[in-house]
Amino acid sequence: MSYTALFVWSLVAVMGTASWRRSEAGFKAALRFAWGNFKLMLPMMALAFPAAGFISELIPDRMAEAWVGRQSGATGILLATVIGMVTPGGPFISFPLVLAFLKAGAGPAQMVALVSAWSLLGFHRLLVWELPMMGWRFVVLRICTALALPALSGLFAEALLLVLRV
Amino acid sequence: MTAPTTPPPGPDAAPGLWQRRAQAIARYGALVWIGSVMIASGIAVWVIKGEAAFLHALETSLGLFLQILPVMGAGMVMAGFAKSLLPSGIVERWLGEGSGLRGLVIATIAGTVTPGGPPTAFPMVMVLAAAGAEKGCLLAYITAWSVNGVHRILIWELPLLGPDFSLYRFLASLPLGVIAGMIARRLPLDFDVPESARIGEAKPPKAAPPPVPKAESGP
Repeated sequence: MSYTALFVWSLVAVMGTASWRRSEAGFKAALRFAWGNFKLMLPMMALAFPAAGFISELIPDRMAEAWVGRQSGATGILLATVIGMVTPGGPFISFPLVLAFLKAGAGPAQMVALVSAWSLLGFHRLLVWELPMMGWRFVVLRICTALALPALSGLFAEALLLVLRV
Repeated sequence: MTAPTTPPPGPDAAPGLWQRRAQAIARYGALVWIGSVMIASGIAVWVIKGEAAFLHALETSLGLFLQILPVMGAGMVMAGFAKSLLPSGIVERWLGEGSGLRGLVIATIAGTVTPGGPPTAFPMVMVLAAAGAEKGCLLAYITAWSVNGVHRILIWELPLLGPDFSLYRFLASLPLGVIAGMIARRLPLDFDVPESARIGEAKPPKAAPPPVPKAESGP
């Protein structure tokens, strides 16, 4: 079991104790909520992990470094934004993808922009979740709000690189 | 903020219709989508890179899956407890009209700590909207949750990408919530809170009109 797992499970223990002391019914409802979500997620994960593995296998090594590497600058940030927008699926696909990109020589600031674009403007999330749940007016408002943000986060990330000198 | 007869907010306060709808979308939409992505990419790897690469990718992803599973389970349980512990009425009070920059900062923090995926966060937006939070704060909230949800960082980013990159990306994305809220406040766009979103503990946007008194002056 990884350190992360240990950490989150100890957090669970603390929160569970607090929840139990507040209300037993709330505690049980929380567990039901968790189990329901877990059952929902499991088949998706079982499909998503091989998908992410296959996709990262398909990314040509040199392409990552040339297109979204450290030296790619603003062009790389914009390109990473587009890649993030078309990256399908949840975190089970995007983060393994980022890992594959980083290993293949992508720049960290470009990957920050990619994660921002995926989480804010990802077509998949918009279509599968946001549109059905929130309606198109909210989606339009959110897209207009978020349009410039991925590139902005990439620029912040470049600035951080300069400050941290890494 | 709630009618006196309302039971104390439990983790099941929000769901109802939302949860059923979210589950239907999740089950059929996402499953079909992910399944076809997996099959298409699997075939592509087999054809382009051969059987060895295909099996290698499958093996690696299985290992990753088993590594993630216990963390993911913890995350689910944690999300449930967080919902049951979240003080209702406190967040909403700070996010209304005229909340200014402070409202955006609070909304950003609230979004960052909101656990769960889209089935938790989007209903929260509607709950907050129905309880009187204004547009800028709602957009700051959902933006902060999207880019920097701590829940997702703990479950996915930390184990996969390590603490250095996770912290670096967190810092670079930190201002986005407030910026999104400021942009949203200037946009001439708005949205409706669907009737179906006024669920559970959410208060209707305006006080219910007093019941029309039975007129004594009738014929």
